[in-house]
Amino acid sequence: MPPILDVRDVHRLFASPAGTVTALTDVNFQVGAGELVAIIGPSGSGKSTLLNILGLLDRPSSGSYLLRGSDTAHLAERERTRVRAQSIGFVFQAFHLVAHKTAWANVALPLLYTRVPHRDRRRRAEEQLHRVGLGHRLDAYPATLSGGEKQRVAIARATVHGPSMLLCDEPTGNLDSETSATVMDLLDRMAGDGLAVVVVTHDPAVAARADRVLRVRDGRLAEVTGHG
Amino acid sequence: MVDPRSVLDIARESVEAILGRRVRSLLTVAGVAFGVLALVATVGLTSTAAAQVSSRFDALKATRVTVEGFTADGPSETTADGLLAPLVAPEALTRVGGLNGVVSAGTVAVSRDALPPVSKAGGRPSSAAVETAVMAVSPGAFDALGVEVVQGRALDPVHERERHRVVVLGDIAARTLGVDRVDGRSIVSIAGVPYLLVGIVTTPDFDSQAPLSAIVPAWVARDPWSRLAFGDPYVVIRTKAGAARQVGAEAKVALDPDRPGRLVAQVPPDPEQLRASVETDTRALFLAMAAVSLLIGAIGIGNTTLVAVLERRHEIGLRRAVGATRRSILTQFLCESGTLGLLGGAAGTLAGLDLTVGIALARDWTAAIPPWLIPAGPFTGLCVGLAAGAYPATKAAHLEPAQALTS
Repeated sequence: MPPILDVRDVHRLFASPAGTVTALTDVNFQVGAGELVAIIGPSGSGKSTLLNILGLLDRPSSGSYLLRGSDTAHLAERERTRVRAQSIGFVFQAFHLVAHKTAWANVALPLLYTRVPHRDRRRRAEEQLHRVGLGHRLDAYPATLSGGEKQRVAIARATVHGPSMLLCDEPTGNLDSETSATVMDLLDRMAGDGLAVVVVTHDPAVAARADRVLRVRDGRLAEVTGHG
Repeated sequence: MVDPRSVLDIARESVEAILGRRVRSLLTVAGVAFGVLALVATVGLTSTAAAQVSSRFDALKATRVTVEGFTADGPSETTADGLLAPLVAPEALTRVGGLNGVVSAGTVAVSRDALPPVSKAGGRPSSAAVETAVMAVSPGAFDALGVEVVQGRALDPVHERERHRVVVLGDIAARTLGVDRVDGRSIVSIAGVPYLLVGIVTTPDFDSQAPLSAIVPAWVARDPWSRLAFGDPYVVIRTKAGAARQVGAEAKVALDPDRPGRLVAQVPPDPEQLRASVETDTRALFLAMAAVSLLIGAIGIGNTTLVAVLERRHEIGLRRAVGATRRSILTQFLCESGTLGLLGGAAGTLAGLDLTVGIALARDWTAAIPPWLIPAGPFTGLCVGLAAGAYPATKAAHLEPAQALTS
């Protein structure tokens, strides 16, 4: 079975007033379905740039990025938006829940852009919230949720449309260790359901839960650690 | 092709976002509402005021047409002293009388040069001579001029046909001459020629000189023995309401079919035109003020939307990340600012109409609100909202999701 994501010889350069800055150099790796991969590295090492490329929010300067076997390099802006809407789920450190929407409406947001009928959106969002253990907070607004609850709503939102890949940017960065463990349990479960899960993290405890750890340093994928 | 379902979804998202920021939305709506209120009240009040002007418009003048230009080079008759006097032929007057919308018509000629001395003679004591205007009129002119008999009688066709030397005094002229009653024996001397006084008349027309004049039959103007010099005659026509302009155009042809162009018809200003000019004059200033209010409202919406875009950049980034296209972001923000504008426009229209009706009631006027104003107010609000939201919405649509999410 081909990997869900396949990164080959990816370089990413940025133009700056001081000259060209290299954010990523010669990055190669693959993540298969059901794998939970952690990407670690110091600030400014290129982790976020890599995550943006994986999420089709940025393009590599050279090299190729294959998503489920298809090269994404030549996709037009609209196509990339469509692929994001169908195949990729995002979880952020700051949760990014929409303040004026209830928990279920936040979870249903990605379905809005995939033309799922309104009635089905609510049903699927509620199912997903039950799955992450928040069946009792369907109509709660983000302001009334705890940090852990917010991140679980965000995970429900990231998975409601049935993506093949989950990209998490410091998902436990704003949570205490106990809540972090709960969130990691959830991500583990998502991987167990067949998603490719990529987690960018500073937290060694989170990295320790991954199947593999990729270390980025100065734009290079410096080390690959397997946990068996 | 836009999917109607996605339009509905975007509209729903916009309404949610507006309701999610109630206070700010309310203040933005109020900004537009004041602008539209000013606009609606301005148009409503000027229309109402103009309606008052036209309802008070002098009905008498609105039905009076004067045709001038009868000179000696047109139809004329040679007077007994060999001079050529311009003539308004009786059959021409008859043709005018037959025109649709004509109530009455007659000729008038007014004495010129020095005003002739007029005095009361035959009575005791004889009054001093007073310089008084003399009008030579045909019988139809009495009605056309709106002259009303106070005492005695008006001049009639027999006086004209039989060349009776008779006079009717305007009430003010009669008072000046010391004449207070018509007894069938009083003689009035005009330029030394005696005339039998047959009546005293007046007219409610403020501008008319009839009350100040001695009025004689039209033939007197052409009679050298009268020792009076008259200006060129003109024709006065009273029309039915609303017929004045039409009659003005047709009367020239009826009076001189060969050369209607030499005649000039003075028609009263069309009440509609008068109203329009009143509206234009008074409205321009207030519309300018309304435009300023609207501009302020537009800046309010623009500013609010721009701030919202900055504040909601994470939300915009998230929406883009989970599948929103640039167009759906643009549409959503335009929809939000358009909705705020529309609500402001509707509120402003209601308040403006209330204000107009309230002021009209207080002044005991009839409110005259043009029907187009009712949809125009909300529509203006909508346009202001869309225009003001265009820049912020474009800015939102062009946010890069990766930057929006991390900034």
